[in-house]
Amino acid sequence: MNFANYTNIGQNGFTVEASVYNNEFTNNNIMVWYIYDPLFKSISRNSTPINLSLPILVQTDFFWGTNDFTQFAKHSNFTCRFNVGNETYVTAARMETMPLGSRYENDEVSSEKRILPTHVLCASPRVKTPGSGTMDISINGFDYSGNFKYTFSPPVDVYRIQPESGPETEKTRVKLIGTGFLENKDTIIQKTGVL
Amino acid sequence: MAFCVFNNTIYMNATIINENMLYCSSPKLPPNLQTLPARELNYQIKIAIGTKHTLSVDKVGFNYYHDAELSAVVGDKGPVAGNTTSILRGKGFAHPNICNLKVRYGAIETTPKFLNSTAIETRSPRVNLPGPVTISTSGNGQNYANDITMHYRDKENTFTYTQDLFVTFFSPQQGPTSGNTRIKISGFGFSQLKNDDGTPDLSHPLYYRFKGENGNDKSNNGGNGILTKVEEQSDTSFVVRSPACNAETGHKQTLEVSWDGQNWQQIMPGDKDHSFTCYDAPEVKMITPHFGPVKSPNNETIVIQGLNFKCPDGDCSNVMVRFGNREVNIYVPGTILDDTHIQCAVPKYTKPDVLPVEISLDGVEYTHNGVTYGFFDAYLLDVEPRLISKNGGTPLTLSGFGFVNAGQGETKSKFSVKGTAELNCAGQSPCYQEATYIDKNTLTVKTLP
Repeated sequence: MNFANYTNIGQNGFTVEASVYNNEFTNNNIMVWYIYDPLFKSISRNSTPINLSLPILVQTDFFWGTNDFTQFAKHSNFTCRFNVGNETYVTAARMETMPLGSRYENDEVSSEKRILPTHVLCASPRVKTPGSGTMDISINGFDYSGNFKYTFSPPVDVYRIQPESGPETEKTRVKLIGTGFLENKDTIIQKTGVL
Repeated sequence: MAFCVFNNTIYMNATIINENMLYCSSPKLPPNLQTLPARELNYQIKIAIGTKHTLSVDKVGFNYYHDAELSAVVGDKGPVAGNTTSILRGKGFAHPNICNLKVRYGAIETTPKFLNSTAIETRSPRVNLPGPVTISTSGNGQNYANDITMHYRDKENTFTYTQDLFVTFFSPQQGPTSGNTRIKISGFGFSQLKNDDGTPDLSHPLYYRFKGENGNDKSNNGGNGILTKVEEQSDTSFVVRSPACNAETGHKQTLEVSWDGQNWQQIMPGDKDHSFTCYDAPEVKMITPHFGPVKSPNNETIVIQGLNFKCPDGDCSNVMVRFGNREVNIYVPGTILDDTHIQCAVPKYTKPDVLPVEISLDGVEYTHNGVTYGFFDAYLLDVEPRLISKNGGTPLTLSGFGFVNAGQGETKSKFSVKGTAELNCAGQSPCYQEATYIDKNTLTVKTLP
């Protein structure tokens, strides 16, 4: 097998040219970069109902000591891929700092003081049927890694509320009847408001 | 003074012609008697001459029948030469008192063939002028039914005479055996059927068929009983498609057109005994070379290899080669080297592209085999993705234009460094990797680990 010996992976790029006949190569200086593959360590949730699209935070080691953040910001194409049975779903993703949004406060500072991303943020897809599979992350839309187990649970739905009314001055114990409460291991949050 | 006395009560004036003949009119049958059975629909007739009291013996009677009613004319068009068979549908054709069933086309009387009580068969008489005429029936050969609607044509009782088409131009008169050659016929009278307001009646299309020289038209348009309409029909032109020819049909085809699928008019050039000649369809299989540089300073030529490169009727003056499709193209003349090779010059094309090359032996009909010639001048616009794993194997998509498929080993990519890094493969720099041609705008290559 042919190997390329390349120094300075993650920093300097190299050009790709093409020839279709007689070794007459183009000279268009289209640059690409070898990088150290980021290490995806853990995900913030491993289950979502099939009918909800929820954010998933992937704790990531980007190897910023060797990889160049500027090239990542410019040329990355983060995606998350979910394989469930015979179905494959791909959602868009991006690099994130923690706490979320803190990077944007430092956009103007020098690169030495910049807070570098530590996570990848993507969204779970809405899928057709419940099931378990795997989740992978890609930095360029082609090379995926991670192999996290992921489950799509039955949809959370509320059919009925008992009682449907109560006094203004007291708390009332309310019973919710529906589906997807037990199967879903996530915390159920009830939102109330004025209709 | 003379009278015909019907039913001993109704006196009708009579005109004495001679001592053996007089004329009189029958009275109208009262409505209350019209529902009687057929055998009772009659009056006895006596003659009174001089006074109303001098009556003859009632030896003869007069029978009444209900007028036949038309509901449809099956075969309602035909040429002015006549002899078009039509079936008249309706009711009352079999009334027992009908004594002399006749049909009139306008003013010309014909004798129909009785089929049953609801249908009779007629043949149109010859006329001098085309156009619609009213068909009416008579049970006695004398009294004809009135038109259904005055001043308007009713399809229930209208027959339209058509005149022969007058053809002035017919092209092309030859095409490949594969058929589907677009043939345009120009002339007059192609939309002669009109509505009441004079506008063309598009509900009556012109049909066509081809008959092979062997008299076997089963494989031709219209030969299987399904009528084929002409295309792009206007008053002065229409288009037909040539049939596929084979040994069964023969290579000489005669075009026939008809308004009704019954009366067919042959359309053929005056100096021929057939309308269209099929020749073995040429087929482009390979082009050598199949690519070349854009704006080549040399006058490049290519040789097209294929089958059936035989000029129709030995006339090779119309051999053409088309670079491009039907809409965007460049035509150059071709030279037939032999039955399987054509040589032509490569046109000066101003941009990198891959064009289909098709040939025509008659200058009109082109092959559609899709063999291409590429004008290469590779230029890269983008590479995706830009960040690649050091593990290699990432498929890079190289987008641009001017790519051609020059064959195995010719399509390559080159990886070379910019700046201070070093990149070499097996000790040599830059690195080369064989690429894959996808289309004229796309190459792919897998990255090295």
